[in-house]
Amino acid sequence: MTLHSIALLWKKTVNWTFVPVKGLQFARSLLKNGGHVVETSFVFGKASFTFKTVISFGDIVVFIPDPAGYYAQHQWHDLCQNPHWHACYQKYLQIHFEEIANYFHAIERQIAFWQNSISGFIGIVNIYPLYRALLLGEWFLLFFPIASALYIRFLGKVTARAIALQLWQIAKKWFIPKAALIAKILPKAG
Amino acid sequence: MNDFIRNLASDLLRLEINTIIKQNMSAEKIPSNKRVLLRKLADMYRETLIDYGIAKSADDPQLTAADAPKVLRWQFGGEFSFKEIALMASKGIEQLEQAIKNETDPLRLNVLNSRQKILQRICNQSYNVIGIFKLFRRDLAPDTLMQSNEHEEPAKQIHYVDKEHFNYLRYQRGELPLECIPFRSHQETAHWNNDLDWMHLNAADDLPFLPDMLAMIYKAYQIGTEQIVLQTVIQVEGDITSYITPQYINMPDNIKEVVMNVHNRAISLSTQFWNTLFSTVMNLAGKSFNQIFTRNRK
Repeated sequence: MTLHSIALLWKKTVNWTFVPVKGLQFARSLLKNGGHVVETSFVFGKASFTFKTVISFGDIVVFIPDPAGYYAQHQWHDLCQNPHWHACYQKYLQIHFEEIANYFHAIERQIAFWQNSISGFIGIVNIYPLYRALLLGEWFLLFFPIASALYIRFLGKVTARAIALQLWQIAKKWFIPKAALIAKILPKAG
Repeated sequence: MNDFIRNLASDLLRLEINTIIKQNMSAEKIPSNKRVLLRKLADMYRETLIDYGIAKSADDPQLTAADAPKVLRWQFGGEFSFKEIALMASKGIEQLEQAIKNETDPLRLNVLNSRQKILQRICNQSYNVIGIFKLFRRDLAPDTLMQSNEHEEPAKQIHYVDKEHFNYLRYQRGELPLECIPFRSHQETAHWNNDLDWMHLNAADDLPFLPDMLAMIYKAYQIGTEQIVLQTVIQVEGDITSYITPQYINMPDNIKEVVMNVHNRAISLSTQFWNTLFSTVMNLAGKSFNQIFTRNRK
């Protein structure tokens, strides 16, 4: 194994672990703080500028840096004519939107993963721990949703549904006769 | 959790994309202490009211008795402070309406119009924050909800003013009326309110903010008093409305191009994301519905 392939493997592993972390971080900010902020800063001349985007569920606010805050009006006009400034501005704008797109892709991948564990029967059990884990930071509660998402992903939904149905049958055997018995006793007691 | 899901679903029915050109933007993080965040938001609004000449700071050494109706007496970030800000902003809107009627210079008219919009935003957001405190009151101090505030009664007001402020000395000398002395930190209501000075603010317990309340406060803080240059609102029914401000029209062509490019990219990215969120919700709802009903038929 060459050094290059080790480096490539390391990069892939880091990327692979970073995507879910990024997705969870983004989801947590959205759910807990009601919004996530993405910032990209750059320096031109002696001044630094920041592109900032605030993403919430229903709205997106993009802040564009205004050099008029740093330069006098005539200098600002010169800056507008400067091709280097425009190239720099466009380059960092591109980086900024790529960063936002990365967050969106991360959350899309997360959604695809979680969809298995938050829908149907299994979802009823998992959605509350998932909500508490993201909102209140009780990360250990992620164990059940992750376990079921992984189980469904690798062993299939049919097995999971069969297990859920079996459990339901057992629960029915245990609880429904008892309920019927109580219903029989209660009128007599009354 | 029910409220949270309901608010989330209603937020998804409408997508709003705003583009703002902001001067002196720093990469400063939003304060993690929500009480501090509210205090900073209130400070930002107060500064704007003072800049526009609608209000006066209680710390202004040039203050005279004639300035009394303009003095901002609450210097904190709680219900009473935001109420004062909202009332001052409403007064400012009325004053500007009059000024707009009498103005003939188009450039000056533009400035007055945009100031009026900012004041409207300050007023609306302040009432939103007051609404949050009313909810805290309902849950944490329901007995105070229908009572009048003691500091608003002229006879009892003296107990609530800051006696260490230099205006109190001027009041004792008869130079200023009581209305020019700022209020003291209001520790009595600290468990549901945020009208506290910095010392008490950092020591106070957290308030039980819900995610949708936080989203509102964060948005108010982020947008602050900046003017929105371009706005696009997309409704789930298919209506799309775009607002273009005179500030955008008056920009040089190359800057216009950059701003429009940013706005367009934000629209395309956010609609993609919106689509993903929407289809997830539909998928989840659809799957659960399907499972319940197919099982019943069997």
